[in-house]
Amino acid sequence: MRLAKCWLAADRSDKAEIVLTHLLDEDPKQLWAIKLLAGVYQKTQQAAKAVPFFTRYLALGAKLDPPAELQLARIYRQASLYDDAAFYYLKAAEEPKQKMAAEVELADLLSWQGRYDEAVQGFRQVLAAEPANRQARLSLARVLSWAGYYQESEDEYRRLLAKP
Amino acid sequence: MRTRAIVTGFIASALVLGPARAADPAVPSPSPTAAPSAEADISDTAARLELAKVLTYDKKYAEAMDVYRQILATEPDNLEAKIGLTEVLYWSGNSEAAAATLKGVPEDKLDDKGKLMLADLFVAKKDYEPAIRIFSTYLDRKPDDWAVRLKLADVQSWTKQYPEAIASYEAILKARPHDRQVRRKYGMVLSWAGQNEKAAEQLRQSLNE
Repeated sequence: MRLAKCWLAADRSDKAEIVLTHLLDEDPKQLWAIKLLAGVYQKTQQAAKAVPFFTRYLALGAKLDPPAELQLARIYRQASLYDDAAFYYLKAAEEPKQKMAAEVELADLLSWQGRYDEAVQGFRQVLAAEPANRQARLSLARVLSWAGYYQESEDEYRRLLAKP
Repeated sequence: MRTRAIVTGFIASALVLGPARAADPAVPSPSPTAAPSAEADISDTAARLELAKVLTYDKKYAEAMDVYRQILATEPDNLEAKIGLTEVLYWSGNSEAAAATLKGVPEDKLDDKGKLMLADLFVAKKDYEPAIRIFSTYLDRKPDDWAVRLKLADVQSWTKQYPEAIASYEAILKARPHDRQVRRKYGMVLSWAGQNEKAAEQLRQSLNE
């Protein structure tokens, strides 16, 4: 474990990956190694490789804290596993501190699925609770334009540009 | 085995996501797999550029021009705003003002969209040679852009460069053999070039397709 962490501290993800893979070959149920290796893949933008290790980590009964749930949602999204991403966005949204971020990202994900009406509803829900959320208002303006609701989109851009 | 809570509204819809589909946005978003960063914010200029595009799509040209001019008032060298304003002016039928907007912008600073816009403006002014040069240079890199090749063919025919125009129409028809409008233009140019028998055959074919 120490060696793997040393390599990570030295920003040598490639070396850490070798050490952790070797450790997991010897004992596939080492939770800390699974989590660390998943983190290595996440850090190096290899979401498709990270997903199986997170899945194994959860299957072994480990729990994720809310920030990790949000990260996992992002990893599933990067891996184009949108259904799983949505599930973890919902889990992450249960934690008040990251509720808004999770709901904005979920609505954004819906917009990319072409589910414009649901996405609009999601962004409006966020803005009802947090009217100054610029990210949500910008995303709402964009989705409205994609859906062809130009007047409403214009209104949201103008609200975004209006100084508070 | 995880369980899912019964939820309502948009949250419920998240649980029945369909297959991934790349949106075709009028305004940008990074990608379907990239989550928007909570820290990421948009500058007023970028938001105005998006607003101007939305106004343009909504055919509110005067308002779109106002927004582009607001940007240019504070950032006179903003190329995206200049090109956007040029487009709106051109579509509104004001090609002189459109040309004036792009005046002074070095051609090599323009992206493809800007260069093609400039070529269209040259065509509108009947200044065909620079338009032919821009279209040809662009087509060297993107030979399958048939819309631009058709513009080139038309301009070549108007300037009596018949062999070049004929070659351009033939290239288009090779890729789009059932395009009657192109075949009809091809037939006309063949007749202007004195190739009457071939022209008649092409015009006849354009009527039969």
